[in-house]
Parts: sequence; structure tokens; C-alpha cells
Amino acid sequence: MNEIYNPNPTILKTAGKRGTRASSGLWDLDEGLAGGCGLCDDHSVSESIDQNEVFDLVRFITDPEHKHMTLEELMVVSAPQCSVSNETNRVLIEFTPTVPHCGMSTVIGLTLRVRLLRALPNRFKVDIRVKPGSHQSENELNKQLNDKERVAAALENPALLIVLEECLESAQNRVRGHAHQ
Amino acid sequence: MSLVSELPVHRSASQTGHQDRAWAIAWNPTKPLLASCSADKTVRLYNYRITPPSSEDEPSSYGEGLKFELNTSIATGHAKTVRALAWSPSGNTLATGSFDSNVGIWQQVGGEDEEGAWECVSSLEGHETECKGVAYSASGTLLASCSRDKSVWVWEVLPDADFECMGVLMEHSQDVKSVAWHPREEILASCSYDDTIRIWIDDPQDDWDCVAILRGHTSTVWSISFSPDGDYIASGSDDRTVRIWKRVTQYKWDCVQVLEGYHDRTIFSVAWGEGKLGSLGWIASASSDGQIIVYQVNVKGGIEVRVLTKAMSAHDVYDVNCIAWCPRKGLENYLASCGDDGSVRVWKVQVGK
Repeated sequence: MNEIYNPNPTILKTAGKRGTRASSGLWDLDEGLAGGCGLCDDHSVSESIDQNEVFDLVRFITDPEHKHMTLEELMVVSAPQCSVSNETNRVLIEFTPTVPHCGMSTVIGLTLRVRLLRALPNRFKVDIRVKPGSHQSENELNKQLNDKERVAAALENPALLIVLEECLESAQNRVRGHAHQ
Repeated sequence: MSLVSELPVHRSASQTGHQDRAWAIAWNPTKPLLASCSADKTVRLYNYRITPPSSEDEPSSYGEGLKFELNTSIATGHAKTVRALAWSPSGNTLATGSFDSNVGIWQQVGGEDEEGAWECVSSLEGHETECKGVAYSASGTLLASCSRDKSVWVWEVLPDADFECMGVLMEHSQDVKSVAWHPREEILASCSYDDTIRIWIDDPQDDWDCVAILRGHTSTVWSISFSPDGDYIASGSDDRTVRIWKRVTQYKWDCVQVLEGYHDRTIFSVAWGEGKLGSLGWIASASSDGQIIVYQVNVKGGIEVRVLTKAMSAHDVYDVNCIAWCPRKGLENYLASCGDDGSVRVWKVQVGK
């Protein structure tokens, strides 16, 4: 935690509100990925979820390095980077590390996984990856983030758990806050 | 020829109990006892008895069944998840491997009557990080353990719950996920996050030596199991395939079969049992996709594998973490499984009629 991997991250100005579809207009660059999200089931049964709901769960997670900024503001996650299949019960998040050598990517990936583990129905199998080409150790990161034994062991590490809970606090509070509006 | 559907796999017992993910199960080789371990840091022991056909517990068409009840729940004292289990061949000792990096050795104190409590008689410290696998050799004189620290340790089992480290095998380049012994010889296999399987023997002149590296899987190898005759190894991987390796010379193993297209998520466990049919018995594979698949293996010139039966959502929506065939005579068609739901289930593969 002593080394700063990205002292000057690019920041997205967010609308600051939950559930805003307007933000998806900012993501023209990601059209390819958004198109790949044809998995989403429109004629859904009552319990089905969509990519915006998944995004809403993770957007306010704060960055482990820039603790006052959210993953949405840092453009680490966006709605098109969250894909859902209600038929096969799969959720995939492809996040973008702020810099290709970001040493915090494992922690960010873990926060995404833990958030979804806690918030999504049990029927969903979750895969967390970095967006192709966005990190120099892409394969190693993907392998680690999807090895459930390593994830389970990481979550029994008290020091790491403190960092994760700090990052997750804001996401959990803001969703709760919204529920009272 | 026909692919038998779910029907012949009959869930004869279901035990919910663990408070958290159940990682492993192990049948006692000599007594009617089944052990399971969990992230909740406990080990649970279940007794079972054979129930006659057409008793009220068991539809008559399924023949005899097994009835389970909880014997005891052991609060292991491990500081973290209990990841792995192994019974000694005598059935008197249980080894536990934990994320706290230690291996626990458990025996029933106060004789072998049913009342004796299970106590930790020894704790093997050596691994630097999570222990992920434990296994006793066929003779019961050696115990192997493996860890995220990339090492495999071989321990000699001495009298009075004493253990001596015989070797620290350091050749894997990543976490060692599991270890398994040959059913007769002192040959050890280990599999790893480095995508390989390694074969080890005790060099009389030297230390334990890696005599073969089995390459072919394209991702983490989670589980390995020797065939009952010892001439083959089955391996299950994150690459979603099961591979079958044949011993072609003393220390050379070749991949002779790749079973792909059956699972669509990580395969966490493979188990090769005697089965009731097939010249080489039955392989079972279990996966994050929720399926348990049973394959029958025959040798006719080459090796011939076909799906005998499967259970689709074996632990409902949850991952299946471990499967194990009952090693006891006459019960070779019983398979135990455990999953992320914390439950342990026992399946009977129906044959004939």
C-alpha cells in the first residue's frame, strides 16, 4: 500500500445519482462491449436482473488507492462492462484498471467479487476479469480473481478484509440511502 | 449405448449442517463413517447403516440404501477454513488441512468404542501459507500435504502420533492444489495452479524426486485421482476438461483421453472408483456448473469412456466442491459430494435391471 500506482487518475464527472441511464451515453467507446451484452433478457421474469442493477451495486465502491473516489468516477467500471445472463445465471464484470501496471487491481477485483457475492441472489455465478488489453498481467489477474480457493483464503486475511470493507462501505451505504428516498 | 439420465442417480441422504461452504468429504475406509470439513472450521462425522430394500426410507426400486445420522461435530481449533481431509488406511486417524497452514491429526481417544471423543493428537507445522490437500499413502506410513506456498511435504508416520518430515518438494511454480498417492506403490502425484501434474518418488540415494511432469491442461489442475489398478490418473481442471493419463513406462505418463464439452465451468474434483461395471471402473467429476458426471471406463485396445449418468444441479444452484466414492466392499456405487451450500449429499448409482 506504500507505492502509489496512479497518482493522477482520469476522473469521470458523474451525475451522482443512482440508476441514471444518461451515463451510458458517455460510453460510445465501449459500444463493442455493450453490444456483447445481448445476453440480457428483456422479456424477464420478476426476479431477473439487468446490467444497470449490477452496475448500481458496484459503482460507488471506492478505490483502495484514491479512497475519496468511486470506481465509476475513476472509470474502472461502467454499466456496459457489466453483463448478465438470467438464463444461464451468469454475471461478468470486465473492469478497467486506471493504469496498465496498477498493483491495486487484485484488491479492486476482490471488492467487486465480494460486493456481488453479498448482494446478488445465490443462483448467479460471477466472473470478474480485467478488460482485455487493460493490464500488463491480464492473464495472471484473471486467473487469480476467479480462483475461488484463493479468494476464500484472501477473505480470511484480516488486514486485507479491513481494506475491502473500507472500499465497500460507500457502496453499501449509498444503496441503502437510496432505498429510503 | 443409451445415455442413462438422472433417474438412476438417487439421492439417498442429504445432510445440511455446515454453516458455511463445505470443501471436502472423505469416507472412512474401514468403518461406516463419512467425514466432511468446511469454512466454518468444523469437521462433521456421519454414521451410516445399510437399510434393506423397500424400507420406508428407500423406494424398493432402488434396492438397499444407506441411512445417515450425525455422529459428532468437531470444533477443530483450526484458526481458518478446514480445506482438506484424509483418513489413514486403518481408518483410525483423520488428517485435516487448513488455511491456517497447519495439518491436524485426529484420533478417537479412550479406545475405539463409539463414545470416544475425537481429539487433535498432533499438529504438523511447516507450510507457510494455506494447506490445500492431505493424503495418506496406501501403507499408511507416509502422509503428504500441499500448500499455496508451492511446496509438497512428505511426512513419515511414526508411533505415538509422531511425524517426521522426509522431504519438502519445491518444484511447482505456483500453489499446489491437491495430492494423491498411488493405490499400492509409494508414488505421489500433485497438481497445481501452474497447470501441471507432477509425479514424485523416494529416490533411495537421495531425496524425493520429481520423475515426471504431466503437461496438457491449459489452466489450474484442481484434482487428481489414481485408477484403482494404479495404471491411470484422472485429472480435473479449470480448463473444464478431465484428462486421463496412462502409465506407459515406470515413470512416464501419457495423456490418452481428454473429456471435454461435459462441464462448462471449473472442475473442482475427480474421483476414480471401482464401480460396479466397466473393466476400469467409474470416474466421477464435479464442477462449479453444479453437475456431477459419472463416466464408465473400459479398456478395449485403447481406453473407452462413456457417460454413465449425471446429476444436473447436484447441490441446487451451488458449486460442487468435492466428490468421493465409497471405498467399502459392496458399496462401490455410492458417491458422496459436498458443496458451497454447506451440505453433504450421498448418491447411489443404480446398475442393472
